[in-house]
Formats: sequence, C-alpha cells, structure tokens
Amino acid sequence: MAAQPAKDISTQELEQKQEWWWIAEKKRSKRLDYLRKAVWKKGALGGNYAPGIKVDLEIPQLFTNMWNFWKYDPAMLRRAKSMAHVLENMPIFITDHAQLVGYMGTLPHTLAWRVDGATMVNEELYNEPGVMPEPEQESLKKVANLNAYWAGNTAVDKLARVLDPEDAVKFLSGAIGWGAPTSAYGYSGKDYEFMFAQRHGFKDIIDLIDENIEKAEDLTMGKPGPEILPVYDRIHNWDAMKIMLNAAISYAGRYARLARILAEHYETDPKRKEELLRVAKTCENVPAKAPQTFQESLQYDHFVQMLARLEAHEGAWPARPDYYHWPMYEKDVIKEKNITREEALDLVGEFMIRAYEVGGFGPRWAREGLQGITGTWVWTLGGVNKDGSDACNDLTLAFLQAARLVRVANPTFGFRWHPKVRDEVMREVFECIRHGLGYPSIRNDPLLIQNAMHWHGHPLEEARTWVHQACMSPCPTTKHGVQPMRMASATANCAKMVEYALHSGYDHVVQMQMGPKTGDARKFKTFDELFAAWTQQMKWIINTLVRTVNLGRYKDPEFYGRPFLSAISERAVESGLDVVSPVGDRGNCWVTGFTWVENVDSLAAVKKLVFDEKRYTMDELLTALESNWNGYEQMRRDFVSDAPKWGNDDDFVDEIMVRCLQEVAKHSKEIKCPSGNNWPLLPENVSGNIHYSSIVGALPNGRRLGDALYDGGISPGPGLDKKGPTAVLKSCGKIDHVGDGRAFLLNQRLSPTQLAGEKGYQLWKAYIRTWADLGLDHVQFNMVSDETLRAAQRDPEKYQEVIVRVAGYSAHFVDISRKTQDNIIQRTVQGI
Amino acid sequence: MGRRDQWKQVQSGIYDPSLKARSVEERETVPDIACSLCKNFAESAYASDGRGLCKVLKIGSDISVTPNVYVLEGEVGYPAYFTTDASSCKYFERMDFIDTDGSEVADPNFRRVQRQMEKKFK
Repeated sequence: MAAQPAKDISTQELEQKQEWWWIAEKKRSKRLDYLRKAVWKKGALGGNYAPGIKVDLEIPQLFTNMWNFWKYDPAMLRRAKSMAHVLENMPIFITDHAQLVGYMGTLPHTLAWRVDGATMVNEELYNEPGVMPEPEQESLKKVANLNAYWAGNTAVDKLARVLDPEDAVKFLSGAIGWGAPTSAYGYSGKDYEFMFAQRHGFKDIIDLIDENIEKAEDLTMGKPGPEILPVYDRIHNWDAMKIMLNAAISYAGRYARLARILAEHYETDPKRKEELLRVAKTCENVPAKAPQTFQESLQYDHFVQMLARLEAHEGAWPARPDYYHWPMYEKDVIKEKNITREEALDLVGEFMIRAYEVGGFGPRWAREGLQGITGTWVWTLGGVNKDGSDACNDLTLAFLQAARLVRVANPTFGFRWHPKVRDEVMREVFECIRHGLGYPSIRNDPLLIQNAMHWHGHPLEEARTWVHQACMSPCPTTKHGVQPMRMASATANCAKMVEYALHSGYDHVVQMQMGPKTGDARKFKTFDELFAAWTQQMKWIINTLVRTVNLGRYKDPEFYGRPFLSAISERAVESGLDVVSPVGDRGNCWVTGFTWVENVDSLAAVKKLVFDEKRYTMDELLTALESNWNGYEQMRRDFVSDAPKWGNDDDFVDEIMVRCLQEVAKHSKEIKCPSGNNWPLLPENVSGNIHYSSIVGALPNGRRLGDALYDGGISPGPGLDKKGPTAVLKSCGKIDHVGDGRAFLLNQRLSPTQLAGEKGYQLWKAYIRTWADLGLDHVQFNMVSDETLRAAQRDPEKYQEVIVRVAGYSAHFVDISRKTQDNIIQRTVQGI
Repeated sequence: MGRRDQWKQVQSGIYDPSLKARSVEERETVPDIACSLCKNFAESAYASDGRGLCKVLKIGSDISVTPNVYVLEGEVGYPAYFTTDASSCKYFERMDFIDTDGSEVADPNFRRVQRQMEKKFK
C-alpha cells in the first residue's frame, strides 16, 4: 500500500512523528513554499557539488578583460574599475515571486569563481568533475585560458613568493592547517554601525569621500613635504571606493529597470505587478539612500552582501539582522502598520532563502570541512544593546519563526543569551531546536563580552555589538572593532600537536619533518617530558600558521585589496586606507583549534597507562602507533576503555585539559597580530574532524588513521561521555571561559522524546540555567532521533529536509558524507 | 646550501611553473603509467588540484630526465603531479584501488578525484 501523502496527515500526527519539515511545508505561505523549493542547493554533498550546479565563467572573464585593460593603475583602483565593469555587464535575473533581488552569479544555479584568488583553486576547478557549463570542451578552453593568465599572479601566488619557503611548504602539506591567507577568501566583518545605525546610504558615503578628497587635495597642492606623500595613494583609494559605490548604485538600478520592465510589459497578475513595481522602487532607493522601509532595509543589506561576495569569496556572513533591521521593522510593522506581521514574516523568510542561495566555488578541503554548506552563515540574534539592556524584540521572534518555516541549513543563528531574555523569546529559541534545526546555538553574552574585553581590549560598548565573525568568534561591528579580513589559515589541526610530540616532529602521513625535533619519545621517562615536547609542537604549529596569516594581512592591500568593503567601512572612508590594512584596526584574531580534545584524551591515556600505572612502555606504545594499532587490538582497547576521557567530570583528565589550554593561553599573549593584539585559541571543528581523519595518524586515545576525529571544540569524544549531561557541563565548567581562550564549542545531543511538550521546555530551560551558572560560553544541540537519522541513511530521498548540527553550523543530513553522518549518530544522546 | 635555499628548492618543485603553459590537450592527458596510478604517490590534502608528494623518493629526485635521479634520503618527499609520467620510475607500484568518487573525504593515499581520472577509470 502506498504511504499516505504528508499533506493529508494532520499537523498533530506529524508533530508526534517529529517530521517537522512537512509541518513547515503546510504552514508557510505559498510564496515561501515556492521560493524555498526553487532555490538551488550550493553546498557540497560530502566533497562534491550537486548535479546541475555549474561554475559561472562569465564574471571571471568580464573581470579579467578589464583587469588586463587597466594594468597600469594602482592596485585598488584597478580592482574597482574591473569590478565596476562586472557590475555594469553581468547578466541579472529576478526569481518568480521574489521580493528581494541580487545574486553573485549570472544564473541561479551558478557558483561564483574568484579567479584572482589562488592558482591552486583555479587548477582544481579545471580538474573538477561536473561543474563546467555545457558545452564542456568550450568551457575547459575558457578556464585553461583564464588559468594561464592568472598563474603566478593571484593573491596567494604573490604571498607565497614572500613567505618563508619552509613555512609555505609545510603549510601547503595540508597537515597542520587550512585556509588561504588573503582577503580573496575568508571572513569579512561589516561595519553595520556605519551603514545601518548611522544610516549612511551610498550617496551619503560618496559625499563624505568627496569632502576627504577635497581636504587631501589641499595638502597635495600645498607646501611640499614628506607628510603629504602617502596622501597621493589615499586619493586613489578614495577614487576606487567612489567607483565601487557608484557602480553599486547602477547595479541596483539595473534590477529596478528589470523589475519595472517585467511589471509593465510582461506581468499579467495585478498583485505581482504591484510587487515588482515595489521591487523597482526599492532598488531605486537602496543602496543609494538609507532605507526607509523594512523591505528596503533587508534589500540594502542583501545588496551589500552580494557586492561584497562579488568582490571576494567570503566564507562567512557576520550579521545581526534583528538588531540592525529592527528600526524599519518597528516603523512598518508596529508603529505605522504599513505591512502586516505575516507580510514581514514572508520577507524575513525570503531574506534567509536568498542567503541560502549564495555559493562560490571552493577548494575541496573547504567543501569537506564544511559539508553541506558553502560557508558559515551564522547570524547573530538577541543579546544586549550598547547600554546593556535587552536587545531582543519582535523581529528576533520573527527570525526564529521564519527559520522553522523555511528550514534552510544556511544561514543558521547564534543566540546571545543573557539573564534578562524574556521567556517568550526562550520558548521560540527552544522551538527551533526542538524542530531539529540544530540552531540557534546558545552563547553566553555577559561572559563573551567580558572575554572580548579581556583578550582584545574592546571597550564595553563596542564589545556589546558583537556578532559571530564565522561559526563562533565574537567580533564587534564598529569602526575600530570590525574585522575586515580574518583568514581561516590560522586554523590548526591540533591533533598534530600530540602526534608530533610522540614522533619528534615527523609526520608519517605526509612523510615530512614538520615540527621541531623534540626527541625520541621512546626515551621519555616522565609525563612532564612528553608535555614539554607537546608544548614545543603546539607553539610551532601555532607560530607557523600565525606568521602566514600576519604576513597575508600586512601585504593584502598590495596583493588583493577590497575597494567595496573599504567603501562601506567608516575606518577606510575616513583614512583613505584600504580597510584590509591593519592600521586603525583594534585586532581581534583567534586561532581556530580543530581536533583539540584528542590531545587531552591522548595525553591522559599515556599518563595513566604508561607513566602512572606502567602497564605499557613508551616503546610498546610507539610501536603500536607506528603500526596504526594493527596487531595491538587488546592494547588499543585498554587505551580506549581504561584511560579516563574528557567530559565525565574526572579531574585526572580535566586537569590535563586545563593545563593544555593554559599553556596555549600563555603563548597566545606572546604572539601578536599585525595590530599588536593577542591570538587566543578557539577550539571548534566544523566538519574538519572528518576532513582530517585521513591525515591524522594513530593516537594514544585508541584512534586509528582514518577513524573520524572527535566532533570538536570541547565536546567529549562521541560515546565517551558516559556520566550524563551534568558531568559534561561540570568538566567544561573547569575551563575559564574568559581567560583560557576565545570561545569553546560544545555539541550535545538531546532526546526529542524526552523534550516534548511543556515539560521538555522546562527541562531544557533548567539545563541552560546550569550551563550559564557553570560559566560556559557556548552549547548547541542536535535533537533528531537515531531512528530518524538511520531511516534517512537508508532512504535519503524521503528525508531530504532533515537538518542536523554538525559543529558550528547545520547541514541537511543527506548532504554530509557517510562518515560524518555516522559520527553524529555516534554522539551520546543525553537524558536531562 | 642554506636552510632557506633548500626550502626554496622544495617550494619551486611544489609550485610547478609548467602548470602555466599547459594546453588543454596536455591537461587532459593521463599517461598509462602516471604517478596517480602509483601507491607511493600521496596527493596533497590542501591543494586538491592533483599535486602531491612521493612517499619513496625524496626532494632532489627527478624522474623526467634520463637516467632518472633517485634520492631516497631526506626530510621532504619528491613533488609530483597526478599526470606526471612515471613510466621510467623504478619505484612505480600500481595501485589496486583508485578512488575517483570524492563524496567522502580527503585521503592522500587513495583519493584521485580529478575529472581526468574519472574519465579514465569509470
């Protein structure tokens, strides 16, 4: 007998079956339903793009033609003129039923390709199966020609020539870290205070720039002297910013014209015609002027995001939409009632879908490390205002409600929890988690504000503006606080710290002497000798990555540069410097610590079984590790089951965690970013634990080469936290979440059955109170049953819309690799 | 040779300048005995464009000249590309399993997901 179609099943029954995706389909408007189903999924399925997704070749060609034409211009001006040519000539489209417009490709199924970023990525694209537009042979020729033009001349090529060659080679081994130290890729904060709080439209910014040029020309046309020499370059930079702003206004104007043409010549439905004319009016107003309506506010933001992503491959989406769009929402929905709340909810849902649509061609390591998505679009909700009062509002609720209707895996939310959050808001947060979205993650706002002040010296009011720069790290949205480029290459594969300590810096996977020669571990007589070796390897890995990133940042105005991002940043508009210049940036860098907890469990296992109990010798351990535990299965099991594991409130191993973190924290203050600020550690993983599973060798926690690594941050190993959720929280509470690092990711799985109904909400709320009392800064939940996940593995077609929290982001379960799926199922379901 | 010069040599091997000049035809050709078919070739997990290191030969080796130069001692592997012709290399050992799928994860020892390999083996 055929299964009953979901549309005929009652909502109550679907709720009981926890098939929230069918409920969403029933409840959302026809418009949202169409837009959600019409959008192309750009995230990689494991490491591959989905069938039908193609790379956009038109924009790279337009850009390259003009880049070649303006070859004698200074870097920033050349980029601005080339980008303006793209904006004037790239094909544009408006999706049926859409009220918000703008995309970074020329067609809805295309991935943007940043051709001037890295030759390695360009070559990877040439070799990538499935992504070339038809006819393939013609596309291959185009790509080969573009690659030949850019080979040796991309941002990464230029940086590679000035890096120390040893650092460059070791970085390129892929063993110790990932990322590309250039603003061509990475995470770019936006100066929302300048654009939204201070209400600057692009024409207002052009006026500011004109005033600055006028003052600068008083100098360059005045008395000669050394002080005026840098001013010439700044005038060129201001010209570049103006070119970008004017081109952006024209680009929006093209959408306005298209919408008007569609409305006046093709649309027969009077309601849709009215909508298209409103789209036209919106695009005529923004980004030229500051937004006057809620729709304009969202459209302004979306244009900014698309323009920034046309300029660079941005891997994250720092944003705080309920805060910066609240004034126009309040005006239109609450005070003047120009639109209904349902209409506003439609706009919010579409705003999320438009973000979900965004995708650029990324290298395989990024696809594997961020399976199912194209970047970490973690939008920040809640928190406090600059004066410390509760910032949650009706738009916060609208975003949480819209999320359950559209059920996209990207963007996700991070919720800034604080003691003054109203129960009504907490219930909406919980509903999203209960519906299996895996978001919002919960962030401890008071603690993270304190952390931002501790590590980077942000003044209190500035710290209170913080948004998620990527998955986890809080960064302000202000003139001096905003971080214009944060490169993922300060992302350490931390499991290598203990691996190298055991092998005197030699990497048996990439067959290279990587770290310092810290001595033959077979001869170590005490745990402290091993720990000293670990400390040296830790410093070497962090130093190598940070040196690379620091140089990348310092040279970026010359090697890449961001004229558009500069034009929307108060600091750059005021100074005439490219915003990626470290000058005037307070600096809020962090080292992302992938595969961190393996260090702790491995060191604890060696300490207990080798040095304390003397059940095995270092020689036996090293021999077993060199054999990848093959032939040593009983010994491996001893190292798994007889050694204490992090997350069980066991001081033996918890003290090692704290000792390791404190050692890193000490070093974090010894190394500095280009602004002179600190580099604290932030343990988290995305799906790097799977990417690195074939790159990290056998470890003393019983792991073999190829086994999935732990899911990250300070989360206990999957299935190894055996003493319940309170023990996990207590272990994590032994860490000083201010002084020991920048932030600490904690994944937890909860039972959807236990947390059903009002009782479930109260249980969860009590859990959050304990979490806050113990001083943790982060927690995120998966609340999808094993039964559903196993069913999705067996029959993926039926479970296309099941979402899970991976680590720092969410993904559709069917889009992640089997290994990642198994890793999530393996996590302990905590009864609370 | 000083430290910097030694590593410069490695770096120049990894940044193969010949990539720049290759035609489509050259790019599409996978020799019958190529490094990508050898179990001693490990692709880079960072630059997934087909470059990698030999697990037997070390830097200073050269399998493109006659006679081949084999260096077996050293701290860095010999840089090669998945289409590097290995027909004259005496350390070539054909792999039994070629992974051209790519829906799972990086494995420097087995992964060969370049489009050209897919065409050759699927």
